[in-house]
Amino acid sequence: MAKKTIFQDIDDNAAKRLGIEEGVYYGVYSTSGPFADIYDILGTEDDSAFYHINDLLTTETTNNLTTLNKGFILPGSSVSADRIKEACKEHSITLTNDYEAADFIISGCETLISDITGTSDNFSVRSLLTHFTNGYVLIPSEDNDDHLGRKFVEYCQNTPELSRVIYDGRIAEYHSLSQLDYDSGPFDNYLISGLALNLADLVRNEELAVVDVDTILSSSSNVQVLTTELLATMTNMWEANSEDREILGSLLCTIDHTKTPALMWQLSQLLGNQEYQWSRNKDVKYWYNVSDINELAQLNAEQAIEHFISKEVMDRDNFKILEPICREQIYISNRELYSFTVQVKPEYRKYLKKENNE
Amino acid sequence: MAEVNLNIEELEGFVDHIISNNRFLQKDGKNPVAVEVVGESGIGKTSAVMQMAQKHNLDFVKLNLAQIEELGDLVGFPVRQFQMYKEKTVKMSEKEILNYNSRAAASEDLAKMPTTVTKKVGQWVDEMAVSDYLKSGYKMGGKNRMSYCAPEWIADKKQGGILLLDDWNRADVRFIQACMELVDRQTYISWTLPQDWHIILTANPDNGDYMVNSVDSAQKTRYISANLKFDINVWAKWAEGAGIDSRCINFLLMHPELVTQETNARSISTFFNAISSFEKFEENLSLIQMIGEGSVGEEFSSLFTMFINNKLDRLITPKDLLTHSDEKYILGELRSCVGKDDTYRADIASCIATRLANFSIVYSKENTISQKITDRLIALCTKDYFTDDLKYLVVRSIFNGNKQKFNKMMMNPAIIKMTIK
Repeated sequence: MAKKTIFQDIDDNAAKRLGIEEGVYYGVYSTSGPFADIYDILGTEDDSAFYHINDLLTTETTNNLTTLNKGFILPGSSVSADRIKEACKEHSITLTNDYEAADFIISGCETLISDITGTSDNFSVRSLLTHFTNGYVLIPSEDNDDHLGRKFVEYCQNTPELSRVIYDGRIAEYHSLSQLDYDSGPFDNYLISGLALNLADLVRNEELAVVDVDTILSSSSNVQVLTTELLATMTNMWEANSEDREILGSLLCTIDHTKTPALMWQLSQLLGNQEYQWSRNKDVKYWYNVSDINELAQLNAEQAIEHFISKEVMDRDNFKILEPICREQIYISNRELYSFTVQVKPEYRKYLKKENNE
Repeated sequence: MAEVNLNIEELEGFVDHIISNNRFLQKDGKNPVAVEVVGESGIGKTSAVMQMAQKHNLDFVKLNLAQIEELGDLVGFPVRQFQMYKEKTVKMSEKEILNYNSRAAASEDLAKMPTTVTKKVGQWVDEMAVSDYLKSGYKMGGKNRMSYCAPEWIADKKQGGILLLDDWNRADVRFIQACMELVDRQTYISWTLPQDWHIILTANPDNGDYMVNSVDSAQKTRYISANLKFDINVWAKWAEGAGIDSRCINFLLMHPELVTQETNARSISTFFNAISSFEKFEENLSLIQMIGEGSVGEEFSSLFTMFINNKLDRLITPKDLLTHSDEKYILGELRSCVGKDDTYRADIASCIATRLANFSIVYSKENTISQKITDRLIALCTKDYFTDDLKYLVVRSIFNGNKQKFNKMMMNPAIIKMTIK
């Protein structure tokens, strides 16, 4: 059974097939402290191969869930495994931790590529790919053996040719660079984990399909279109107490953010920039990210109409919700002297007409 | 006088905040704030404070002011102290070195500069300890004073604790007066409570029903007052975790109006504990009636007897409802308890739903919530055994009681649909 960890044996042939001709092996500390294990990772200065692997792992190859049986969630998923599992269950799809037993991978991670710079950032053990800039690497020497201990010695002895270990925040926590023998790493060092190599190779060979997590979530029967009644229920929950708000968080994740834009705007006026209320709920955070609700919250009704027209999602129903709100927001200060007539401009009147032109 | 009404759960949150706020104040060198918990007898004031101390891993000292006879037991006894000193050789301070350098430079004597200096180190010593100090080389300084020594209950205490002044308004006025400085500044003349100590006072209401002393506004402005109220739902949650007999919890949930000033939570728990060893209540009715009359009164025991006669003590238990292996059987049992349509027993349904929610939370603390249990809960909360509002209450309580373990349940489409009904 294949492991789920990003640290896997590096398959040189797979690396070559993915376009990495001159990769360099680096060691990375998996945890802090002197007894942490050191694992191999492949480094290259070739960004095209690096981004090719990223594309292979993130570009959806199918959205037909009926042909799929077993899914493997990429590490660092932005959506909780429980939610993905529930949604997969509806299509009789099971999840597995063994990517060799899977027929597709579920992508959709915020942290597929992590960026680390200099000497203070930690190497992310959940990111398949790492862009390491302006950093240092440790080289074998007696000084390093003294400071970094047995694991470092073992690593240098067991790793062919010149072993280099990435100097990151985890080592810096215990050992200053001045105590150690080091060298400058490439300014742009693209680090690829063994798991990323293996998965990308399988995707390239079409042995694994790639499905975006949003495809799975949006195909769930749990997803519901926001309606006026649902908005009223959600408003009541928001205004009730903290326990109802927690339930509201779960409800929010099921709202289809791509439909009923006018109601989504109304929801944004209530819940925009409030994701901190559910700070421990990964799924709410994901929903906030994909729904653009925080951006909508910044718009008034008139701006929202313009926004939805520019996005080509405005129709009569949505206009009829937003226009009265917009009208209420008209502010004229000289009402004592004048009377005003309000009319919708001709270019917007098409949204007031019925579709059959009655 | 301003005061706030809280149940025990709310009080916990309230005191949690006061404790963390006191820590914040103490960091800034300000005086911490004390809290007074006012409530009917037997409502659980003292035990709630004890649990809070345990939860925060704080030391706990309970002083029942009404039982203290000597004022000294509260504030400490006066003691005569003598100033004593000892000559000690200590390293020179930086300032002394600097002074010496400036003089030595003038006299070109820098190489002979000493690094130590002999100083008199003095301290105030209690009268009884003077002879011991003399033996160890201390000398009399010639001054003396009167001071208060810290009382026994606080003398050996370290950082972090709750001082509970229990039933403080039952105490003699002298004690109430003596407490004022302690409550206000956590200090009494010559001793101070250690860092991170918090004072909580408990009191019975001054409404004529209790033998308590009135506390004037000068004293009341020194602490924040909270009125503790009995809440049947909070009691039921506590009872589920405390292992109170299942049949008895059902009874009180169905008759919360029986909790009064005389028949309070403490006497009810005592009654329930005294009868919980009876496997079958119906076989021990007369004994239960006797025990009841001696603890919770006639009305309570009569209704309890009626409850047994109506076989309501045999309602399905939440444990069976959640964990019984035969789902069909257990749902059938539930149906027979709550009925349907015209025979629907809303009171029983409400009682079972409350118990189910409370038990699920208690169960989840020690056990894994398997898929089978999640499915059982989904079935219970989506089918028509309970009304929509009860279903929502169960889901809301369970989810908020343990979000991590009941997260899966909240992702079920049927549950989501139910919550927005």
